[in-house]
Amino acid sequence: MLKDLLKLQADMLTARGELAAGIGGSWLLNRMAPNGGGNRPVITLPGFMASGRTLLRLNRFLNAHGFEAQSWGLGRNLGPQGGRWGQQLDELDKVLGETVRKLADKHASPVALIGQSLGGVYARELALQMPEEIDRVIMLGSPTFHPYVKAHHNRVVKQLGTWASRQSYAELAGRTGLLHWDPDRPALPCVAVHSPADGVVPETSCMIPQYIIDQSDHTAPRENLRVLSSHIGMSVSPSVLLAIADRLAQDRENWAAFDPYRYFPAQLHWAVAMLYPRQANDAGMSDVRALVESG
Amino acid sequence: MTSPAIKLPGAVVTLQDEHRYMNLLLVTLEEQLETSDLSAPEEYFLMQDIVRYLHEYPDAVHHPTEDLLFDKLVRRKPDARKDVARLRRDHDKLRVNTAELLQSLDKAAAEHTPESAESVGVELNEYIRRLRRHMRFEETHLFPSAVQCLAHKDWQAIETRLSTVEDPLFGKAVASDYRVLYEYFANRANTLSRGATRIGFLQLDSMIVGADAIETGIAEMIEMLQRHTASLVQESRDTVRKTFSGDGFGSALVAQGSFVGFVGKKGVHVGLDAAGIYLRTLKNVIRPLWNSRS
Repeated sequence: MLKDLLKLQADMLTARGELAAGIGGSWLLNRMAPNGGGNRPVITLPGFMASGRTLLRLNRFLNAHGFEAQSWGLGRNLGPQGGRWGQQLDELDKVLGETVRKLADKHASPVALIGQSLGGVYARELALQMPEEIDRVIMLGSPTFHPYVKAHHNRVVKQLGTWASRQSYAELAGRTGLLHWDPDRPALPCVAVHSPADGVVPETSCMIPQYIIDQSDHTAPRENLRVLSSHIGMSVSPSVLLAIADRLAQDRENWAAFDPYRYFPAQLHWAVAMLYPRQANDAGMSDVRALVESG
Repeated sequence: MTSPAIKLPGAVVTLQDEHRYMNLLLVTLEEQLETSDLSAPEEYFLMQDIVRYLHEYPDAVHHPTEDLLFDKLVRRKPDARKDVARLRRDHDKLRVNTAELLQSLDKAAAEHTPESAESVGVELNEYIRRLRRHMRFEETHLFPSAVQCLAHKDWQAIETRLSTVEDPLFGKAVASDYRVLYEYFANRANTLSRGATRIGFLQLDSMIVGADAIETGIAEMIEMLQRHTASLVQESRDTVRKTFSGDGFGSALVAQGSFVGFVGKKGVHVGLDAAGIYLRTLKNVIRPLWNSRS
């Protein structure tokens, strides 16, 4: 527990550094980031225990780049409440659906959802319930909940979640868990941003499994995007902001993976390799078969 | 056993692969029985999913395919009739056993009492033993005979049957009903295969473990120096006492010489101890970088 408390402190400290870097480098970032071209509605969802205000900087950045970003409008995300999480998730459509529909009608365009941590879980579940109104989903360090894989989430945060929900992790996950989307359903792009330096959620819990990516096609793109960032600072980190703007601007019909190198001169490619480290290999079908061989 | 020089027909390779998959599932069932106290319904989820798969694929597809292979074998080699009859009976029994086991697991999960856990544990162990024995007999007796006796068109018929139904868990695509189970194994494969990452040294986890290792190393080093210093002080006191004890110049000279020897030996010991602590600390700092999940 002490180690996890230290990790959480380090994550918060890193987030402050990222905020400072974001403020210091905003001029450069604003010049580099792509423009959405206007009329591209976006709703941002905060993480566990965070309020919509924590995404103020992200919204402001997106609004300056041709997107129409707004917070989810439900205040602080208190997570699962009083053991009714399943019901809460089922009712997301009622709670948040109206905001999404109104925005989609106003712009005559489906809405992109960006969720940080638990907010990304909500975005993932909401898009399953109303795929026609959603354009794409971008998750920032959003975990999955598996019914029987032991999660190595930060125990301090997990404990807070247990107190808030009065449910154990296994009870929250339920019989079928809360996993990433199927390869083909919903037919929307989904981007999972994850970081090897995440001090709250292990990146393996955030990554879309390799077999899902292998089985998905251009009608339902699934993409893992690895960025060096803290968990809490994902919505302020300049490298994450650049990636978010790029993924929002990406043509949905001709989806291509994020290429950070095109934003930087060749002299800085060594830095790009550090900011956007090579994807860690997730286990594919062949690895599972190798597991069988290894006994 | 089949000679390694003989190229095995594709159907036999597939059936043997399916046996290996089943064995992985049986090993997982055993592990779950050993490591879990089965005191909550969710601790049964993994076992329920595995047994459900065993009922829906091996019982429904794998064994009937083997039955087809046995039919053809008996036609080509009538004296295999007795073994084939035994295996057919096994298949029938196993199908019933798996269904019963699934019911027992559902009941035990609902009750989640120590008594129900013990009872289902006995049932599972018996099932695991029976299925393993069955697969071993097929691999050592029937498959080699089939490889020797069956004709090309026999294998074609078996392969056609195998290709009609895709394995929902270990096949080309994972069926949505088995995603949870597949991702459990993918997670295990990840844990096994994931080694160093290029930025492992930047991981907070590794940094904290590394800092802890350095702190421990420094404490060990201080303790070692204190220990050697204490013995050096004691030795020098003894030397002074012997030198000025009034036993004569010769005795003083011997004491001084002995002290010089002691200091030399002590220097070697300190160097060796310090090198040991340094290497141990270095290993403890580096290890988490190479295995970020440790």
